[in-house]
Amino acid sequence: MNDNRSLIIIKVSKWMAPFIFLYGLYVVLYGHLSPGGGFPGGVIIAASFILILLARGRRAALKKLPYGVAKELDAIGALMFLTVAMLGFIFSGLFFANFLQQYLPGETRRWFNAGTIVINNIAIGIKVCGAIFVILFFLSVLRISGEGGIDFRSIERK
Amino acid sequence: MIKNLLPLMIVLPMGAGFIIALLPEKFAYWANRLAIAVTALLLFGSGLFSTTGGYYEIGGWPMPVGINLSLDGFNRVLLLMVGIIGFTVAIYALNYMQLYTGSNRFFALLMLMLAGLNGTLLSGDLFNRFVYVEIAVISSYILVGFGCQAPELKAAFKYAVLGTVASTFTLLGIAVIYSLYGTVNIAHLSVQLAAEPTGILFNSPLLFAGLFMVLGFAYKAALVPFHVWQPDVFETAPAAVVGLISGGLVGVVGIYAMIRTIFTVFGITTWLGWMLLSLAVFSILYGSFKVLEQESLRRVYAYQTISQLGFSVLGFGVGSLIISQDGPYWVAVLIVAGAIFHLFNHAIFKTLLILLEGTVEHSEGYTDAVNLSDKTNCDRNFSIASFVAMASAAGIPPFAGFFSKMIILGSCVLAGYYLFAVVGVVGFIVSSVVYYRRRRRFFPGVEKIGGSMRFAVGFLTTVCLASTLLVIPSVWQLFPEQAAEDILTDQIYLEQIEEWRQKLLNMQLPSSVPDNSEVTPDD
Repeated sequence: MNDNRSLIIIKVSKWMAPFIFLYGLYVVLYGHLSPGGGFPGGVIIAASFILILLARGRRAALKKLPYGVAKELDAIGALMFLTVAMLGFIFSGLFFANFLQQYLPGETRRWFNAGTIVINNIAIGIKVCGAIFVILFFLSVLRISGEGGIDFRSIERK
Repeated sequence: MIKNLLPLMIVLPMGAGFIIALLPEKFAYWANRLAIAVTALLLFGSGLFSTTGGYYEIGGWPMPVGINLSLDGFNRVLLLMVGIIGFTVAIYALNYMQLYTGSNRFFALLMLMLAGLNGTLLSGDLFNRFVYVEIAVISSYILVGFGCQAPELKAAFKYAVLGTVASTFTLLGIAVIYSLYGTVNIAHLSVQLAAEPTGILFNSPLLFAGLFMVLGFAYKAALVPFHVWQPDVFETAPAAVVGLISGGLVGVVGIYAMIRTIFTVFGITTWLGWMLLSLAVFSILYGSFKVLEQESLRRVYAYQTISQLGFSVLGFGVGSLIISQDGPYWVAVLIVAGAIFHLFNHAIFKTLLILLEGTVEHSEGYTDAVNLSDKTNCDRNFSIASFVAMASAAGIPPFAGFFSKMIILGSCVLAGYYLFAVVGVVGFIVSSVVYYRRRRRFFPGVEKIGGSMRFAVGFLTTVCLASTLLVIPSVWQLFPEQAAEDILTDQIYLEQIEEWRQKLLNMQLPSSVPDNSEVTPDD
């Protein structure tokens, strides 16, 4: 959009964003073994997109993560979390029971050793990533006119 | 066991909310049907749970560590109330929300709000209840500003900012309690706080926490010093949303959470009783006198809500005073049962009044008393519904609103608190004047009203008439009296503690026996 953006910021953000994304993935996937988890990991993943949004503008960010996709990630993450909880209800009779632990116990100090906790972390990561991106995107988009009133329709089309 | 289905009361609306959010706008038809099916299931479920009680450990984690859902007499009356209001509002919104765009979003938020309300009722620990309160309240912030016009956004902004401050106070109170006792489980806390030697009043961190939590919940209930958000919200938000706020949110997130915190966690003490009473007296008097100067019908209902909830809190306050001063126990049960009954009645008749007002607005586009008086034709069915709601609100004898007010005022007199009875009667008469004044010119003929709105109003009128049946002695014992006894004795929480102690004893026995056998040879 406006051309007076610094070349350094554009280049560095291009290089940094994939690493931030990867780090976010690590924090989500290893949340049950090391510090981290679904929420901080999701925020870090969203931060990689927000870096692009701040450095290179809205259009570049939307190319990486379209608004519609982010909105759906938000709902899908929540549904995934609820589904895992309900599967516990179905398989072992208790809501939110860790039903995978008895079938797939896994090994200590290995990645898959905590049953449904990993899946829950991934679900929270997806949800938080989508939600944070949508919030920041809205903050960058919204203009409130003097009359009062927000044009949501124009956002839907983008 | 039927009790094992308890989490579904929260999971169903929450899942439906996210599914609806996922559906694109062209599936609005199915999204609406899904929402209505879920609210019907919730109503059915709350009916199913209306005779059971117990608690449910989520994920099988035992009590002080894990999260649990508790269901006792008080919860299940309010669960039924939320079920009825949610079902009515969802059906009503089917036609009403055609005024607005984006009905998918409305139903998604409605579902989340119902999930928050049910969660607030069922949750058995302070922090989870705070989270559910936030789910319900944040959904309501967005629903209030749903029309996106300047006045609605202004009301929603005011509501959101003040609400967030109040929530922060509540959270601060919970944090202080957690730092003192290391637990947020209500049952566990109630035992530990009861064992506190100094009492709450002379234990300053506890006093701080208690006051902050009560302040936060009193804000949500719009009791008088904290009521500023309510008239604006009522005036501008869509009628379906106002119905849900007045019927569900204010009663559950405000009164229920406050009463549960005071009665169960902090224990019934004289000074907390006086605090409730001061909130109640100011609410009744301010709310009912403020009604007289309002032109807009919505603002009248807003101040009415403040004064009616004041009535309910008056019942709880006098009940806690009687208990803490060793008064007659049956009077305390009677007045608390009356307060719960009034909370239920208020939700039904106020939602009915607001939905009726919404039909006029939907059909005519205005609700000013001046414009309405020009209309000469009259819609018979809506007039009957309007009469039932107003008579119940004003306290005309055969209707439920009369009985609940009479029980509260009568037990005030029985317990010897004549001054509160006088305050109650003054508020009662002053706020009822409005109905007599408006009755004559209220209900105009409405055209262009969809079948769903007619059905919702008819259903709620039936419930409003049927709630009179609650004063039949056997039904009274089953619902309001049981509720009052459960909230006064903390029955379900005592059971939890008892079962937990049994578990601890069972766990220690096997480990302690080999220890002794190892120790004895050394000696």
